[in-house]
Amino acid sequence: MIAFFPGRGGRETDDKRKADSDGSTTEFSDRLLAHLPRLRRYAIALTRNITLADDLVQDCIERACRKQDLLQDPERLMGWLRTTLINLYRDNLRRERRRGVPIELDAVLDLAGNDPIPSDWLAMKELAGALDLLSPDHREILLLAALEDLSYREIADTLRLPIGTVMSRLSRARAQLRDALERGDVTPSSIRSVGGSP
Amino acid sequence: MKHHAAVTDIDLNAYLDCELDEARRAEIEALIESTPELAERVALYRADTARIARLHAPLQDLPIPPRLLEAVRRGTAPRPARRLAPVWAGLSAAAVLLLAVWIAPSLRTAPEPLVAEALAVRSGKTNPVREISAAQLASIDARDAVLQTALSLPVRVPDLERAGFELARMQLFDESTERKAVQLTYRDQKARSFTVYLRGPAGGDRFDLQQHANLQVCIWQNDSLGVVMLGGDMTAREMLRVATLTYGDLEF
Repeated sequence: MIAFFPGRGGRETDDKRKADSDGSTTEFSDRLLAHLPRLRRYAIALTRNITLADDLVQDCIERACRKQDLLQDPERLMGWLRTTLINLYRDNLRRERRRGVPIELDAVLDLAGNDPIPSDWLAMKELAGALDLLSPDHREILLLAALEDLSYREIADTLRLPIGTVMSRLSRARAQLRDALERGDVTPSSIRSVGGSP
Repeated sequence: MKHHAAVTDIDLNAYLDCELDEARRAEIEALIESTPELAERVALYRADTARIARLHAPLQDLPIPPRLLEAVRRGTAPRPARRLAPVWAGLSAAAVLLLAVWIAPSLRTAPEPLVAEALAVRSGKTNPVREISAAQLASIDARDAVLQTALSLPVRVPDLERAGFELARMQLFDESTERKAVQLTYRDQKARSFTVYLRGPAGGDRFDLQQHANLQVCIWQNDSLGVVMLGGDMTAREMLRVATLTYGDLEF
């Protein structure tokens, strides 16, 4: 019998990985960095909270780095990141984790250097408030369609749902958003905007 | 919501999202053109969709916080070899053969309790409270979630495809709140079975290799988790490789 005490320090490093690790990790790092702005945008839109969004993106990055051996297909990386982010978000909701200082949408847009007062600013703020009123399931699917511009097949793959469910859920999400706007449930004073808790 | 006998809100959404085939698209388009209520609904949905994109578009231009860039750099930096790796890398073929001879005496001794538990589970003498086939848990995240919930520990289901093994099933053994256990069963194309038995606190740090009958046995444990890996019809060298992958992928 032999006995020794390995320390923990990350995943295994086999011979093949040692041989090509420098090139492939640099390439993987570049691809990950290229996806970050879009992934972070989706995370902020989903959570309406920048701190929470950044926590999710960081968890997502760390998970992707651990699984990079399985994520070498560039076509699949963004989809994998998005699915992972949504799963982490749902885990957070289950744990009812709420943290971070709310940041108003105006401040976010200022940070981005955009014109803070577009012509339909009030309508935009009402829309942000209406999005806040949607259930997490409806918000995540609506953002995949409207913001990420994914096809129904891609949404189905991301959320691991049948296409029929995607169609009906997306339809309900759009209808509820519209109803909230038409009922006038959302007023500028009640808008929590991007910074509000989910 | 139904607007017209021949068109539903789902149809309108699919039309708006360009998800209809040509024939159905033409059909819906004709209905929209002839029904002001439908045309208005589609226009509102289209405007909402465009505004959602516009509302969030600037977020993509926000500077990426340093902590996220650091997470990428840290996660993709060449990793230092773990303490286990030199042990594995240093094992020559001769050393493995010697190892096989060295561990042979354990064939004649009774297995210790943790190994005995794992052997009983593998042989089917202990019934699981729940069994889930891998097909029921297609995603990596779903598998991890089941394992983490079952053990109340942040462990991950090892991916052993690189060693030619695919997860076949997960069996949960809820012996007590303090000592929950799970067996992961993997199979390769030669129908060889590799099982990973995980359970709650088992004792201090330890990593052992043994052999029982025709099974290679690898034990790894710390204060929070005990793991017994059992491989049938395997050489000691193969066992070390698969056990190393398992150990790394548990990420605990």
